[in-house]
Amino acid sequence: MSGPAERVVVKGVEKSFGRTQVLKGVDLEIDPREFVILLGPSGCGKTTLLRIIAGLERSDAGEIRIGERRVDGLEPKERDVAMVFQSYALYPHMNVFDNQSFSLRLRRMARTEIRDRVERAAQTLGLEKLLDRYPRQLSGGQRQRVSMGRAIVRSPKVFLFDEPLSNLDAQLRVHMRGEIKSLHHQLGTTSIYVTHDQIEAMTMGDRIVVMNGGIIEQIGSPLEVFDRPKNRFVAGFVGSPAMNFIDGTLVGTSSGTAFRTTDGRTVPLGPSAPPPGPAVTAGIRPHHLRLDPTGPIRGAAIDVQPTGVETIILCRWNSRDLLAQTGERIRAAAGEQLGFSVDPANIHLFDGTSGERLAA
Amino acid sequence: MHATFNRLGATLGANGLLILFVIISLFPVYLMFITSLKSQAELIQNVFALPRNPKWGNYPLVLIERSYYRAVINSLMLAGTVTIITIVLSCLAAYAFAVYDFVGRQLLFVLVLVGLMVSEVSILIPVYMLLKSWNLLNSFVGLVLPQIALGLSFGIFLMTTFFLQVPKDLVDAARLDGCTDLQLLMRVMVPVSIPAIGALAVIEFLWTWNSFFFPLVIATRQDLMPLSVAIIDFMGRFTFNYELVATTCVIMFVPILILYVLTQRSFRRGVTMGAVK
Repeated sequence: MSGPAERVVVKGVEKSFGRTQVLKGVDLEIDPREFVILLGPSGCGKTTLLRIIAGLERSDAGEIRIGERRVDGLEPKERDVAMVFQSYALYPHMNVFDNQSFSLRLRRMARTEIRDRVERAAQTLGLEKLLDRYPRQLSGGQRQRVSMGRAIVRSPKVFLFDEPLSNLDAQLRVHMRGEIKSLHHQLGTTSIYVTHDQIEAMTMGDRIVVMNGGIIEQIGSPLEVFDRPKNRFVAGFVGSPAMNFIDGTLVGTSSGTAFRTTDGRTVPLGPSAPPPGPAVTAGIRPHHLRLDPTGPIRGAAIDVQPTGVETIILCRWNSRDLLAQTGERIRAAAGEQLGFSVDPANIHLFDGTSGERLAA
Repeated sequence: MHATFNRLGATLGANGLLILFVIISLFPVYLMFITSLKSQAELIQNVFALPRNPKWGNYPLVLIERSYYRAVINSLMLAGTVTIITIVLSCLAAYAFAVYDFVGRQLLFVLVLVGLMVSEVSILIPVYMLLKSWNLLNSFVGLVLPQIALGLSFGIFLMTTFFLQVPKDLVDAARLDGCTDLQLLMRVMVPVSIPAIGALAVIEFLWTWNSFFFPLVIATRQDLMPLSVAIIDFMGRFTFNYELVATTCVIMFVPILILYVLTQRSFRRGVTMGAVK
């Protein structure tokens, strides 16, 4: 049922709604069979970009190519893409079979071929017994599967997913994540998936495209984006709980470069740290902070949140909040002084002005 | 306990008020129906009493002997044709208003709404002159055209409101599935808008069925007259023969009642839609 997987190329795409420019020259290349995640906060332009690729919006500038074909002047139906919507967008007056076969019937495909394709899709998605049901008779997860079935029966060149799991409860979301992933492995169709959910981004994509304010901030594999964020925005956006940021400067010490906080505490950095210089921001992920009574990072406990698996500690240090995440089960009274240390290799340094990553 | 009594009192009060309204509303219908089954002498004796020997013969008398069946057919033809054409044109126009973002859309929609404010009587003479110049007086087409024009503003308004409530994702999904504009309208928008179309059908049919001024002026030929006009002619000729006028009124009332009963669910949904999201 998989169609020929195609490369998708987005080149210099711009889009404005009235005076608001939502895409400011986006360039992106997606390889055949790749599963790419567009990740970013609300209003960053990720859904607009997806809709432009689908042909549901016209770009103001730039070009879109699917395979060898330039498609930005074509109607949605001529682009051979299929989309799964957040709201499922099932036709309420058609049963599951008719919903899935609608696009094939519009193309006047032979009845036997239609039945064959729908049945195969239903088998893949476990919908065989639901073909006579109407959308109102289905649960959220079943509706989303029908929506995916409607996309796969067409054997499109590209799958587009617009936050397809946002309306599902947490448990079902985990289940559907696995289903979409295994479907992609099975079909191998080039897929572009929009989400603001970091777990979805981290667990599903071959590559993540982090967007902000109409531009692409970073493109990379999930772990690359997580481990080596290109700038302060990516570092703060990717990862939950969010990264801690501490302002300070780089100073020279007898053992090499160290990071000095604005309140005068010094945290040693590794040998690959940049030379002493102007203002920088140090980023430390909460799980990299180790409880250490003699550690250089000290703060007064505000709240301790045991989740069962781990404990999240909220501290106040140098008039800013600091989050630590530890596997230990600890107790701390409000106001109690806690000390933390961090492995120098886990300190990310960003330019204090531009926010760009400094070599470290 | 006290709260329970209060709630019970409020329910009884509200239901009592509703029953009173129902009685007030249905009383003219009751009077019309019993009058249609009385003789003239019995009617004069007591207007409100039930008929002692119901005169069902009034119905064949009006329909067959006085040939009013012809007027019934004319009314059905007129109301049916106007309703179908108005629904088709309203859906087409509403689709453009709801789906396309074209220059002048808002202005055009305001103009459509202005059409709702035009009084029928105020345009009677110009329309008459126009139809006369087109040689359409005393013709079926001449009867149909003004009724469609009068109903279109409301039809376009109602259908646009409904089409705008169809989720945008559904329209996008249909486009990606390969629908042309006409396919999108006929296979997606219209089927999901059946409640609104049902409501529009009932309202249009009712308006045309009850229309009086335009048919009165345009159709002077007996064989073209709808029932609403023929009834006046009837009243004049028989010097207010109340039981026969009531019989004709019942004949006029029944098709509307049947239509409403058949479509009441969609009618209720249709006329209340747009009030809340």
